[in-house]
Amino acid sequence: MNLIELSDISKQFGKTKAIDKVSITFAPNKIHGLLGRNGAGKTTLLNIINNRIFPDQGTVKIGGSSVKNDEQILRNVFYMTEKNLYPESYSLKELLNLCKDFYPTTDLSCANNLAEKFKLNMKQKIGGLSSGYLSIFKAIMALSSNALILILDEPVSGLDANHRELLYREILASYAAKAQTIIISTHLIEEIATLLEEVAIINNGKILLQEPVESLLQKAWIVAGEKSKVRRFTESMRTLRTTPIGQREETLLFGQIDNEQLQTGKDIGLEFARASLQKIFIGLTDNMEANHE
Amino acid sequence: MNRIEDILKTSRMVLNAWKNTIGIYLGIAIFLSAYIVFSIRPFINMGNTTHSGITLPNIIFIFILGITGFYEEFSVAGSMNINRRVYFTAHTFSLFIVVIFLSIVDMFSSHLLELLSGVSFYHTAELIFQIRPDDLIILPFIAAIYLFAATSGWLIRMLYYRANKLQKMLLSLSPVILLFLLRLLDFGFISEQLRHTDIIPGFFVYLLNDLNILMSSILFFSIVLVNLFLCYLLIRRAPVA
Repeated sequence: MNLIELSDISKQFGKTKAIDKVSITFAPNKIHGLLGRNGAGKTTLLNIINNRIFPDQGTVKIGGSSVKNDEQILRNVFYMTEKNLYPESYSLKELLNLCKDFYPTTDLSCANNLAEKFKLNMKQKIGGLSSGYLSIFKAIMALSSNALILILDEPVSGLDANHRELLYREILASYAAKAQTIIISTHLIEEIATLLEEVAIINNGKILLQEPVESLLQKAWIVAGEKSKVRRFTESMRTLRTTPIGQREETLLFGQIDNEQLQTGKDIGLEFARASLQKIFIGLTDNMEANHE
Repeated sequence: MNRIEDILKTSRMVLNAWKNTIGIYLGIAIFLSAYIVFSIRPFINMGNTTHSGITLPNIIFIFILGITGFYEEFSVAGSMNINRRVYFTAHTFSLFIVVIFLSIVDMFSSHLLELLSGVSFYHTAELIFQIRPDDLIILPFIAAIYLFAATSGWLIRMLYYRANKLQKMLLSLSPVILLFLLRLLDFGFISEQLRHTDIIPGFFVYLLNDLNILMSSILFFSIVLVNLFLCYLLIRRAPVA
């Protein structure tokens, strides 16, 4: 029911190719991260999934039904957009009641509990909210909607560290309690890394990779040591990034290293550490940019 | 949830969003109308002292509502993943409800003012058709004109919503360009034969004057259907953003 399949999706805005023949599947009941630099095509892709804009080519299916032919299927999806679509004159309560109207699974007491946790006054109007509280309100609607699929575009935009932490906890709690598919698009990769099960990286409108976070993290190593030794060791391997530090060098390796190679490296005085998701992301996207240029 | 239920809920949302605007407008319009009627009351005996209710202000109001009452409601509906066909039907239904409501308020308030002030009420339709038709015949005629105004406003908003920057500029300039072209025609710059044809006023005179009230109503309803069809075509692929 909550499997999302995109095949051969392309979208062009004027002369800019925002999405270029993207085919990707978001498996059900997982938390997916959609990561990409500014203008990579994340929001465009999410808008296409939700039928907010139409692709020039390709199809989007949710639970096997095309969203183009069966728009009702989207009633199982709650899409929290980064852009505010709510008029300033609407009160939060009014919008929450509308959410209950259109998503009958909405749990109003859950919404009120969340509002209390975030210290959000539900008697306010949209126009009276700061950008952070607007994000909080949209996230509260999304989490209390109990939709089978939650799509969160920059959910922590404008939030302070405490609220971000609280929101991550609530997303996890919601996920643990319900069989939901959650897609989160964000720039704050380091913070969200522990939340994600699967990650898709999009760059220049193309999917660079999609795989489970765990296996991705196991593929990347930071090798540090004397410049010549690092270069000799990484010679035949895929490197994403090299940072010189005086006579030393730090290289981000992308690919499996077996135990034997690891021991050989250590024997010649190299240091090995696991790379973070953010480092891998930067390495991959920078690498692509360089190849592109 | 079935589609009818969705349409009704969306209509309720749209009408809720409009209700304050309509209430404030009607309050002001009826107050001003009453103020004018009671100010002319002392001159009843001087003959030809009549009032024609709030039909014309209503037409202007509902045209503006057609223009302004789309974007925000469509965005909210979009944010709830309401599909475009459901929204179109709900928006049309809401316009019909408002039109029926305004037509009844128009007739009711005008007759009430006539009763209270003694100043005779001549509906705009009576002035145009030079007859005194029954209220039940006037009502559909007013509704047709209101719907024409509402859907024309909505169509202009839809065109603007779907247009790119250049098209928006052309659309904004189009009334000026149209008036300029009509003036050119009027001065006989293009053709001596078309001089002083008064195309636009002529069109409305034809719709209103050369036909009987029933035919006029049917003609207006036909234009409403064309407007709605065009709005449907435009909303079908409208982005929610």
